[in-house]
Formats: sequence, structure tokens, C-alpha cells
Amino acid sequence: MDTDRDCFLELLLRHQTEIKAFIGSILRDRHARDDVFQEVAMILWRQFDTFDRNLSFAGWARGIAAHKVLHEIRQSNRVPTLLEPQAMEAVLSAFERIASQTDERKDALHECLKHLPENARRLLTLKYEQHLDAEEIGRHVSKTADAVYQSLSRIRFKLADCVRSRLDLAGEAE
Amino acid sequence: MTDSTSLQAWIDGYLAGTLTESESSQFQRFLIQDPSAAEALALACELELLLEEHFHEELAARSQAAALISASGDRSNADCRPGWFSGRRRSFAVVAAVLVVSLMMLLFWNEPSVAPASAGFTELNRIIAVSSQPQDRTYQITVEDVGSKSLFPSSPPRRKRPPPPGSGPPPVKGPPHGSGPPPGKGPQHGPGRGRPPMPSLKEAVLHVRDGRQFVLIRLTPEGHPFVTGCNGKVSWLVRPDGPVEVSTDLNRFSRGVPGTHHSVPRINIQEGLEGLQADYGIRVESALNQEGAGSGSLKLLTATRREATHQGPARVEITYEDRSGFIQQMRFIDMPHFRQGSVTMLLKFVEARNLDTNFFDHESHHEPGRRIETVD
Repeated sequence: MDTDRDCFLELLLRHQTEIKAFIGSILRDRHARDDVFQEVAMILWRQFDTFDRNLSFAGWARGIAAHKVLHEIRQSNRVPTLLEPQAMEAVLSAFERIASQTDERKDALHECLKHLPENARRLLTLKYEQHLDAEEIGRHVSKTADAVYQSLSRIRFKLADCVRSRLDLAGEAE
Repeated sequence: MTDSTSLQAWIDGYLAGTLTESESSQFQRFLIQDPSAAEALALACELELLLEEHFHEELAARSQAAALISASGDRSNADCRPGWFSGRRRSFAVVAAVLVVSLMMLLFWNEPSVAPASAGFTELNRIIAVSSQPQDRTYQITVEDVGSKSLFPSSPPRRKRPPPPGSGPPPVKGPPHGSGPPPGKGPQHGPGRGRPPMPSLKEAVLHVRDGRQFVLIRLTPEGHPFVTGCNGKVSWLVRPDGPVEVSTDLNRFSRGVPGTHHSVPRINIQEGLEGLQADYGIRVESALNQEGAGSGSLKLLTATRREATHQGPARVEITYEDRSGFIQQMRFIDMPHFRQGSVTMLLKFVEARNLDTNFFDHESHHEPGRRIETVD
């Protein structure tokens, strides 16, 4: 039991970002995402004895998360979703394809953030630490909401590009 | 919609929730038809989550460092450097530990309501991190309800000794949340002097700094300020007249401060909130109306006492800004009080700003030349 528990916790901790990112791609409300993730974690633990250890834990978990999200959407109106089931299926498959490098992307992102200009860091802090919307951020940095929206978009694009380049370089080095 | 810039624009619109219904349908068709578009969306969602995790880790690291710097008191700058680095190392351990504990609680507590409660723990951890930022805070206190059930219904009334002339205002009759020793503990006032009850906490103002310093300003029935405080080195009491009392016992004059006897949020908001994790069931309720909010919507986090034997309030309600995690008010419901039975009290956040360096010294709250009396 203890071994199972330890093993489960280790797997969940290792893959929680991938699972949560998938849920977050469908449920855009942060609190709804976290609530559903926690409910998914509980289902995973309850069903852990049926999990085939030769398969991917993250894949198994995302499948259960997809069912849970669909169930939540059908059962209540508290979780607004923007994707239809077929599009959700496409996104689920996409997560299967990108999942193997999540840890590498995380490490690369930490490096890329170190080289970010101070004003860009500030915008990200207001957005991802304080969870302000574009209008509120605009009041802090004396910009219009639209300008904030555009700036955040550019910063994310640059970061994604930086992460990709770092991974490519690392691939070449190997 | 084939180039990467257009795809980025669609993804940004999706993430921000600004796509129209027709744009959303178009975008979804594109996700279904083009696997690379779906991958781009998956990567964008993952990037957002990684950024959120990164900045939450940074916030936790800063809070931990601030707590260490605060705890180091008057250390020289030379001491700060190792403190900062060990703080960062510890902060990641703390984040990991909180995560593991939350998951353990989520998974191995056999309670049906464990999932939403765990969301509450996550929120509480966020509020703790925000509350630990090093800034002075000011709260307005309101006593909302005084219970009729006394915890000591058969206790005889305290024997009151009349104060000597000029030692202070006349005793205040029946303060809703006064202070003073429990029966049998003896006088706390200066030697040979009876202690008039402290004035009511009704409409009192509480200033706090770094969890160790406070200034609590009450008004006597005559409208004169009655101020107690602590600067981390001594505690003190400034009455409208008579000597200023100073003690090296830092808790000497903190009895009027809400929650002093209980493990609830009080002077050290961070410590108090952490205390809630141990003895209370935590839950995030639905979003509240925006009325009264400075910016963004408000959320309500409730902490309900698990054991009736625990000394704290039966329930604590924390209203906070959803986006920033900043506390707007804290309500302590049915907080046990040895004379009044129980009281319900509201601490409403007024402002966060850095007060004068010596604001928490007694000299800032009385005229120069006032007689100072050291008490045990």
C-alpha cells in the first residue's frame, strides 16, 4: 500500500503540469481548472490498481481528465468551455505528442526568463503572479488594455521561440 | 490562417476568451483539421501554466526571503546574503512540501468533501504568500456581535479596585471586548494600582508590521485615544493621562488585539493563517459581488473549526481579491471570550503602506516629556 502510494505520488507530481495544462486548455477559469485537477487526482488514485504500469501514466491520466472535464461540462454550468468534443479530442492528441519534453521546456523557460527585459518581466508578474486582467495591468503600467494584450502576446511568442531554440540546440548537442 | 503569426493571434484570442462565436467555430475546425495547430495550442496552454508556476515559485521565494530578513532583525547587511540564499533553497522545499501535503490530504483523507477543501488549501497558501509581503498594514476593527453565553456563567464578578486619582479614565462599563486578566490572575497594572478595563475595540484601528509589531488605537467613552503597542523590543501602553507604561514582556499589552488567545490571524497574519491550516476545514466559496472591491472580483474563503474543544473562533471568513490574493477583510465568528462568552469581530483592511520607521515606538503616540514607568 505504502509502495503504491509513494509510486502514485511520484508519478502524479512528475506529470501534474501536463495534466493540469490539458485541463486548462479546455477550462479557462483557473479555479475551475484546479478544482477539476484535484478531482481527477482523486479518481486516478482510486483507479491506480487498474493502471497498467507498462503504459504512460500521463496518457492514462489525461484520458481520465478528458472524461472528467466532459462530465463536468455536461453536469453543470459552472465550468464554461470553449471547445467542442471533437476539437477537445484534437487537443488531447496534441498533448500526447508534445508531452515527452515538458520537463525540458520547463528548464528552458527558466533560462529564457532570466534574459527577459525588466518591463516584460513586470507584465508577466502582473499577469501570472497577481492574475490581473489586461485592463488592470494597463492601470499599473500606464498602457491601454489593448497595448497590454499585444505586449503579452509578443512576450509569450518570444519566450516560446526561445524555448524552442534552446531545445533545438540541446538536440543538436546530443 | 496558415502563417505562424495568424495562428498565434487565434490562440491569443482563445486564451483571452475574446473570440466571437463564429471565430471560435472557425478556430475549432482548424484545430481538428491541422494537428500542428492543435499542438501549438497545447504548447501555448502549457507555457501559460509553466509561467504561472514559475511566478508563484518566485513569489513564495520572495515571501520566504522577506520572512527571513524580518526574523533576522537588526543584522548587518553582511548577514543578509547567506539568509537570502538559504531562503531561496528553503522556499523551494516549502513549495514542494506544501504540494505534497496538499496531495496527501487530498488523496488519503476519506472525506467526501476533500476535493473542494483542497482547493481551499491551495487558495490559503496563495493568500499566505501574498500576506507575507513586507508592508505595514492597517485594519479597522468592528465588534459585530457579543454572545450571551458566558464560558464562565458562575464566575463571580471581578473585584474592582478604584484607580488612584489621575491614574487614568474611569473604568469603562461592560466593554464588548475588553481585556484584563482572567479571574485569579491578579492585577496587571503598575504596582499597587488597579487596572481600569481597556476601552471597547469598537471602531478601533490596528496597525501591524512584520508580525512582531503593532499599534492598536481605541477610544475611551470620552473620545480620548487609548493606545497599546509593541515595537518588537518592548510593549507599551499610552493612556489619555498618567504615566506611559513600558514592559519587556512583549505580550504584556497585546490582550486587546483580536485573536491573541487563539491560533487565528492576528498581528502576524501569515502565522495566523498557517495556524488555520492545522485546526480548520478550509473551503473556497463562490465569487462575491464586486461591490466594495478595489479591483477585480472578491472571493470568500471559509475556515470552520474541526474540534469544538479548540480555543479559536468557530468560523473564520476571509474575503480576498480573486486575482491578487490580497485580503480585504477577516471575520472571526464566535470567538471565545472569557467574560462575554463569545464575540464576532471584523477586521477590515484599510491600507498597506510603509509607516514611519518609529511609528511602532511609544514616543510616536504621546507628547515629549511624559513620565515613563517600567512595569514587569
